[in-house]
Amino acid sequence: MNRMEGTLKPRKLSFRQNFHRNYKHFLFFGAMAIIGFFLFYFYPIIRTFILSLTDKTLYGGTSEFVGFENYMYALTKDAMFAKSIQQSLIFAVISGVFVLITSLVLAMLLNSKVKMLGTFRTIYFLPFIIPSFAVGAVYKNLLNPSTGLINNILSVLGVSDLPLWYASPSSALFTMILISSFGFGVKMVVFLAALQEIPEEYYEVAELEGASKWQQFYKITLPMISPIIFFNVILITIDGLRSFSLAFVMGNGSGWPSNSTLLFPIYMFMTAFNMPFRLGYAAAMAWLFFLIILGLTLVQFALSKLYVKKDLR
Amino acid sequence: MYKFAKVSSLFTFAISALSGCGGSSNILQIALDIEDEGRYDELFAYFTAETGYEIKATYGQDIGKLIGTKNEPDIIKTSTVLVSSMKESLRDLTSLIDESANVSTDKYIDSLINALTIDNRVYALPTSVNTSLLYYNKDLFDNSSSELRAALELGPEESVYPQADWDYEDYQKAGVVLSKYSGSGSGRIYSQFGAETQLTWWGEWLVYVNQMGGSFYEPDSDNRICALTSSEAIAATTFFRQKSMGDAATKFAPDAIEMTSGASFMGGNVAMIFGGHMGDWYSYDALGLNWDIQVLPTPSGLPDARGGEISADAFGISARSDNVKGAFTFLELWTGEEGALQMYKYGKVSALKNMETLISELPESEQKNISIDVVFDAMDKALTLPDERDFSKVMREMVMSEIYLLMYDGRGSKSDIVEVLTTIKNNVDAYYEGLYGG
Repeated sequence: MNRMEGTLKPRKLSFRQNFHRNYKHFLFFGAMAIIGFFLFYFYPIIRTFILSLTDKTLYGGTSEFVGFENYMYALTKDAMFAKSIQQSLIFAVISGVFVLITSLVLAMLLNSKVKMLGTFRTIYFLPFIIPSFAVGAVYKNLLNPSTGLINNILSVLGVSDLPLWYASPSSALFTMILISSFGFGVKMVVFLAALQEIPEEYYEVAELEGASKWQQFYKITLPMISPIIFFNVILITIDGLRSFSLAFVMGNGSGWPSNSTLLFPIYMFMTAFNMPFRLGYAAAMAWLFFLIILGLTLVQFALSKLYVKKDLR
Repeated sequence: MYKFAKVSSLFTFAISALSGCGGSSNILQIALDIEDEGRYDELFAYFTAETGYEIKATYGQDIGKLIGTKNEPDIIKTSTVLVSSMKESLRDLTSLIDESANVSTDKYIDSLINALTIDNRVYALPTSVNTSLLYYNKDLFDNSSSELRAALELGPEESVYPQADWDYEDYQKAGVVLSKYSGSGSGRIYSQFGAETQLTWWGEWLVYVNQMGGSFYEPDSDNRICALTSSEAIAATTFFRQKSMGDAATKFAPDAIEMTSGASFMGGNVAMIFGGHMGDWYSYDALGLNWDIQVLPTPSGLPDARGGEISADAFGISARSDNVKGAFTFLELWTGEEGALQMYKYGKVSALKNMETLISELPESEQKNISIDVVFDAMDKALTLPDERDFSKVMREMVMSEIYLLMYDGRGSKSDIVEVLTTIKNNVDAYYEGLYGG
């Protein structure tokens, strides 16, 4: 008995032994990521915060400490800041809902036993691997109000009042939302992986019990993939709010036409890199935007308690 | 420990070698636009032979980012518009100019050197000028010569091309004749326009405002109060709108939607540009356009109206450069007659007062096949942009964005010019109040 206890009881290791045995390899393999994080994420984040408390301009050699003045100006006086945040939220929410639904529906279709599954999966994934700049340029041609293919087709079909798409301030943001909605590739693949994890027996039992397809979806599929839905919602929201390249192409880098495609990242870029090059103010805007995204993410975490089902297997 | 020190020193040496830290002090760095690649190699070689300094030029790099990352070259490109924003990154050249036997501020066009002088200190020297001109496609004018003669009531010996005494009425009559379309009423589809419409920048609309006697800022308001509700600004905007939005008898330029179909002077289907950019000359030649220039038409009854813009590229020395002497020696050449003549080969006109004489002394084979004297006439009637650091931001975000709403038919568009200009004024005034207080 004593001998047994002696062999089972873990031997207490000194720090040096513990380090050599357990942490040496962890540090060795993790070093690159940790150094990378501190150099390329942590340091810029802190540097941006320090910058946000100054009146630094891009070309300015010196700058003065202004406290939270930049933050107050953005929140109380800058109408364009409010407009760009509002448009970013509209863009993120509407395109996000569309992407979420489309990616789930397509993942379910691909999860059924259809022929040429791989081909369809590749086709749906393609928009994701094409750079947004190229996507924007192609859609600008397709949706050209005067010479674009889409309006030509609509014209042949007898539509008289042809849409102005990206050329009108009242439809430019909607056009951008429409284009970005095709970026469902990754989310679809994530959903597909989650759907394939659901045991087939659940559906077989449900069918034996007489459950309809809708009931199977509502009672089995949705609860089983709810953690993945939550994951995708977070991903889609952050992607939408950070969207830059598509808006840059569609709006000629300036929110054209009439600031209607002025998303927040574009406005921040314009503030820092166009006259009068207010780098400190742009840094403050970046921090405010970070806080907004953080707030929204926390809200989503709170809401997730209402629909995310854990440990169902 | 020894091993660590050995590796560290080898690493440091490698980094130093790669980054050129051990470079000699007779290398001068300059960052130029991408289209300038190779154009000035001859001049650089000449400078090296004369002075022993080697010029290391990079092309297409963003100078703002280079300064932001403290990697700026010794010689920095700026402009009459940017200099006030870049002042802190530039060395004060005043004492160097005073001591120089080759450079004098008197040699440059007064309005441009004044724009580069802040609190009596000169921060950069001007090179190539940009001033507002009327550009025209001679082939398109020739193709419609008989109609132009009839519309402008010209005699058989008179030229159909734009003339120095043209007013807006002549400009519009010619523009209407040069606009070609099929269909009728609202179904007109244009294949050619008389003139371009500038909506992404203010270089056309604001010239009309200034020429008609208006201004963007209220005089004596320290450039803080917008003056766009004046009768002159309203008349100018009315003309600007009518040329794109009028009926078949008055319209001669594309509206905002038609502009998306690629109507442009460079595309060869637009006959004129009011206020185009001199930086495009090389492209016009490269595209094989048969083009020429004229001074801007003026409002009827105001033949001496001023309003075109004048600005210039300029070069200064980095405040952090440790090779000021070499850099200034290069600036003497670059902004002097040798630099001016080299730039002229690529369609740039120097800010030197004697540039017209320099051009006239060139062999005929090296002269441009355009009416170059027009440039100097236009400069005399041109104005520099308001000395206000937020001007371009205000124009981009608050002015042209609203003007756009007047320039197309469809949902979201507007037609009440006074209402739009009042909105702009209110927004601009509120912006300055927020920025500087009431």
